Amino acid sequence: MALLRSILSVISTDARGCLLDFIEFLDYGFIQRALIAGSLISVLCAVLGVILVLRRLSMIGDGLSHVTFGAVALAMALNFYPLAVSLPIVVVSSFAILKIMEKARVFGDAAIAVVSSIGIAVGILLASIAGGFNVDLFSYLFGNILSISTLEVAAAVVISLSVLAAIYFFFDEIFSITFDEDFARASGIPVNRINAVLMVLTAVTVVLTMKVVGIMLTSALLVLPAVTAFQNARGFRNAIIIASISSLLSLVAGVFISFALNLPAGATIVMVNVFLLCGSFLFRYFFNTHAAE
Amino acid sequence: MAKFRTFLILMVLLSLSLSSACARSKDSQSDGRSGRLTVIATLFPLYDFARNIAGDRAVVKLLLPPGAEPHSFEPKPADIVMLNRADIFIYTNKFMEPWAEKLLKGRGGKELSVVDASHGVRFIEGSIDGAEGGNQQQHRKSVKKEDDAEHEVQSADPHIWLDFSNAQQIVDNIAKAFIAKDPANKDSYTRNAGAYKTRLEGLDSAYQKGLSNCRKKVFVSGGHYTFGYLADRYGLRYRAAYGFSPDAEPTARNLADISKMLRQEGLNHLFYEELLTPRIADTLAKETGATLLKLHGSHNISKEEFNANRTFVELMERNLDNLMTGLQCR
Amino acid sequence: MPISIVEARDLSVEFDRRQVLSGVNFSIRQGDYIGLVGPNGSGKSTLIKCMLGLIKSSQGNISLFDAAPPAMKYRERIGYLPQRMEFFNPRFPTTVTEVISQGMIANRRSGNKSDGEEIEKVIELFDLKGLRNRLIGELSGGQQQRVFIARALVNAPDFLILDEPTSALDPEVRESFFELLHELNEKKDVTIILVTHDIGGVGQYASKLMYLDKKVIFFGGFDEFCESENMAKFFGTASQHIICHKH
Repeated sequence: MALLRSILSVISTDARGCLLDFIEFLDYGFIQRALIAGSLISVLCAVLGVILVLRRLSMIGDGLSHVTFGAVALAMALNFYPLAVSLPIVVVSSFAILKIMEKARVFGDAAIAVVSSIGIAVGILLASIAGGFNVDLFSYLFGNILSISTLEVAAAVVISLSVLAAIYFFFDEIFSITFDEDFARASGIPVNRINAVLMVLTAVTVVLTMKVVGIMLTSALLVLPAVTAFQNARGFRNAIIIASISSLLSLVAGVFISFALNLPAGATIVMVNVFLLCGSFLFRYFFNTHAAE
Repeated sequence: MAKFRTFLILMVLLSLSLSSACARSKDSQSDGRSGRLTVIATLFPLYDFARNIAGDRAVVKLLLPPGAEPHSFEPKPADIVMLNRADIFIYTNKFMEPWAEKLLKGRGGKELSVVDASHGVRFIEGSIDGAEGGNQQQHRKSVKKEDDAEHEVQSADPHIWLDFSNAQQIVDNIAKAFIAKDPANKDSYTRNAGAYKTRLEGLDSAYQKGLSNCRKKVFVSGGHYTFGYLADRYGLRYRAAYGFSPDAEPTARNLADISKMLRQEGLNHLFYEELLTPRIADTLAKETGATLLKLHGSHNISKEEFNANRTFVELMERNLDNLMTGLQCR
Repeated sequence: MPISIVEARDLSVEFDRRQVLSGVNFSIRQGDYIGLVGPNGSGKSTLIKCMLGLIKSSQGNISLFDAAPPAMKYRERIGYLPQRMEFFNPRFPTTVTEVISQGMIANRRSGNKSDGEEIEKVIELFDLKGLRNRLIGELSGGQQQRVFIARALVNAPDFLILDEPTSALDPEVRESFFELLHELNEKKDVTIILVTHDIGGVGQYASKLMYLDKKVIFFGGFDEFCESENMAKFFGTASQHIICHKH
């Protein structure tokens, strides 16, 4: 403590004020919970996002978020805990997307849009029948990283680590499938099974992420770090690492900046992501032009 | 061939079920035949006032379904139909029900007497959103609605019914409309209105007395900014996590400021509101160790409360108990 | 009797009511070096995919290493080079090394853990040393083709399936590639199926010819082909001479 004080006395009053702000900021329980849960979720979204964007499923975060909206409306109408209802429904929807791609002769984007619109419409219908929207639904739209309970932090930690572990465990297979599905199949990889597992993992991640930034911004958290990484990545593993770091940085900085400037947390996190994306793009533009397009 | 047959059957079933849904919605119209006045009130307090005035001489209905959140309410087609069959429509003010004007323009049907409950009421002007934080006190100005004819109130605190002198004014406004529409029952309405106003006055003096000798002079809510009028009337300070309407989430800074405030003012109690899950209140309570107490804004009541026939006065009396606990009054 | 690698019995494949393969019968033995030719749309790639379990047959069956695909027996023994245009997304951020290592997955799954040596060997072999850490999208067409060939060969397979492997290669590279294949087939008894459009040149490399046009028109050695009157009638003597002249 004395060391801290002596250090502080050396720094100018301005910087000291900022530092003190930062220390005070870390003192709040709700900030700590936001940072712990948010960090893991942001890394999870980054990793999964790289895979999803490469598979042309970028909008799946958006689509499944809309399904979550409908599922949460259903949960509230039935007076059940929203997470318990939305998780299975979202998982089923992710399979539905696969099925539609298979049977209805369309690509991923259309399949996602179909499922997405069903989710929103059901949500609105149910909310209306149940007697109008109430604010809880609203907060699912925009996120409430600041009001995460300790139980939810624990759930976020467990789920995030499990999903990341699963991806780590099947990393080579997932990479192979994403790059060249035929070759992967020929190599003996159980492609259909792993695709199904990936869908489940995506569904779980989306439901978890809606807590942090809400349904409106879940897509951003999944897609932006990936795009940031792709500007300068020197390989697949490299892309995953860059995306994770970018996402984590955005989350921590986002929470802090929203605190300092009195802004809504979710949107600020997304804007920091965008800022890093621009930076990455400019970096490539100025420094990496030797690399052929 | 079999596949086509199945398809045809499915289509027929689908269209049958759709048309039956149409038929069902026409059913809910068997009311107002008794010859009595039909009155529709938007929010619960207006509903409660009106039904007390009405007694058994008029039928009063609540537009907002029990459990619904009023600040984001949007009327459905069935509501418009209901309006067409009504004699009197009572709404709070244009800030509470911004959709009311459009709704009234859009309807056909018989002569509808529209009651703006805020007629003659003293508004507290200004706007508050969640990010305003500590500036909530500075923006407020009282403006009596008729005085300043040119002064168009841009935005104001809509929760006028929580000042019990305003409530009495509202009762007068409602009674006037009843009498104009149904002069035959004038005496009954006048008597009922008077009796109810007396009860409101009783409520007011109970509050005056109860809150006169308190150790704390400020109360904080983890919900939205409902009790501005009440705080104003009894000389208390008031702070809420959200603004007038519980939409946007409070910012991190806001939460930090409120936590600090609770600590600095030495408050052991934090208030949460009706109907909505008190997530923010929980977070704040966890942060500061405060105990949660309910302060019912009576915008609307839950299904259970509706079935148990709760009244406005009851809710306010319970509020007084909780306020006295939170403010450490003797 | 050499071991049977692939057995096809009455194999038929239908897509969207279109018959792609119908009544295909053949038996491929270890050590065969087959040139698989046929006109566009004849079902060559479909046959390959059936063999590997990527497509399901509508009728009949096909077995690979005595198991019906998509059963995954002995996948570490297979090397596969898919037809280039079908899958490739040049924007995919991945290095040459990462792509080549995909070829080792079957081996990793069957317990064999060592990777690095094999990858090094094949990088040397196909002259990819300087490109090792480059993104695949940055390479020229010929370089990319070499990477995919490397991927097919990295696990030292004894059954190679190559779908149009030389379309983008320079002539010298092509020559040395075919020399390599020849060596693998002669010295290590590697079974090879080479799908190609180069009907004129295929005789130079392969020892057997399978001509496919929804069904097997011909399957056998080159001499057999050249001496067959049926084939003369089918192709016209001029074409037959082109194929056989090169042999």
